[in-house]
Amino acid sequence: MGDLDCFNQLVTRWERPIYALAFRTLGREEEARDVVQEAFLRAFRGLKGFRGQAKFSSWLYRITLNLCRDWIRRERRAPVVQLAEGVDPIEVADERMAPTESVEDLVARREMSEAVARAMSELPEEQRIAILLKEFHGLTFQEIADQLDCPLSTVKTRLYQGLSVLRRRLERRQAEEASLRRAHWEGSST
Amino acid sequence: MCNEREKLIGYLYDEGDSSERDTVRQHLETCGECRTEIASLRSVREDLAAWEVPEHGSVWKPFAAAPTPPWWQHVPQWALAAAAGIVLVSGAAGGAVTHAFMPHATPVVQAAPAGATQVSAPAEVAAMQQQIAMLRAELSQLNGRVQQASVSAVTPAMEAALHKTFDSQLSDLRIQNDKQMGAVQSLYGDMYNYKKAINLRVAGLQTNVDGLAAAVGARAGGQQ
Repeated sequence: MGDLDCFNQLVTRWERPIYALAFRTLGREEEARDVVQEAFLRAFRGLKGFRGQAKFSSWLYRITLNLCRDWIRRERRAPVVQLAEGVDPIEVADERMAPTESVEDLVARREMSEAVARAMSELPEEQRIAILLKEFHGLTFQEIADQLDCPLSTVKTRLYQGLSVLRRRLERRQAEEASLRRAHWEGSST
Repeated sequence: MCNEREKLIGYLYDEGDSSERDTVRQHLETCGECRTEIASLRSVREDLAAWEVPEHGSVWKPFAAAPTPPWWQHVPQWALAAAAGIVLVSGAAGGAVTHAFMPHATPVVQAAPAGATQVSAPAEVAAMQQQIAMLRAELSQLNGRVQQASVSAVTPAMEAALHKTFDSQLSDLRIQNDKQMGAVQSLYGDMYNYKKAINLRVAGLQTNVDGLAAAVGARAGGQQ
């Protein structure tokens, strides 16, 4: 099997997680696609220099994160939450609904997804990346420390602080929604 | 314990030293504040799981192997030109060498000059044909080597070194050829002079013969 076939297989294996990492870091679909394309091109060019001293996935994550950071610094832009404009959540729910899931559950899940994305986008970059690597990519504390070039204790601190801030924001959002629902119920009952 | 966030995070993700996690577990049995903290952190983790990535098609277009061109397209143009040049120059040089090493005949009147030329020409042609056959064999070997060599294996440094070698060999052959062509021209000049001298000599002899014939005729007429 040639180098190209091997590389294409690696891309097939890692394309989805790498895209997910780029999308959640940047918050933009188009930019995430560009980053993924560039990350794989760089990986292909650097394949001869990669001697297996690290896992291929770790190497790929590092390339992707560096590209994301470059993009954020170049554009001086924080991640955004892309909301589908002009899309009825009920219609989307119909398309993506699991057989056992009600429409209401799916809409609620979608709203929660957007709320989490918004709260994450407001976190400092290093806290956000530490949470992404831990929660969505299952890296160990040590692997995250290697990716971010920081001590193990710093990783734990970033995770704790990031999760704490998220908790406060999500709790505030839930409180606001509960207040709105109560106001709506009181208004409709009078 | 309540201020040791690192230990709580290790416990939350079930990662780290097992004895440390046991210590946290024992502490949680007695500390309501830390139990609440762990529960809320777990709740955030559950909320995070709701964060979806939009559906997307494949971002990557797989690499396709480039079609392999015929072997002769791998041979650089300069190599083909150099090979052709070597064949031409070597052929000319072979012919010149044949001329240069031909035995130099001194101009002798009694030798039949036309006959000598007719005898040497077929020998010269045969020698050149032999030379050309040898060069063709060399070229065939060279083509074989080029065919076996992979283009990707030829580094710019190797290509430069090959250029240098070919240029050097070509230059040597040209110098050698110039010298030999000079010798050939000189030889042809000598041959022209010999032929001219022979023609003059033949004409002189003819005159003598005619004179003798006239004298003989006159003497015979007088005797009669």
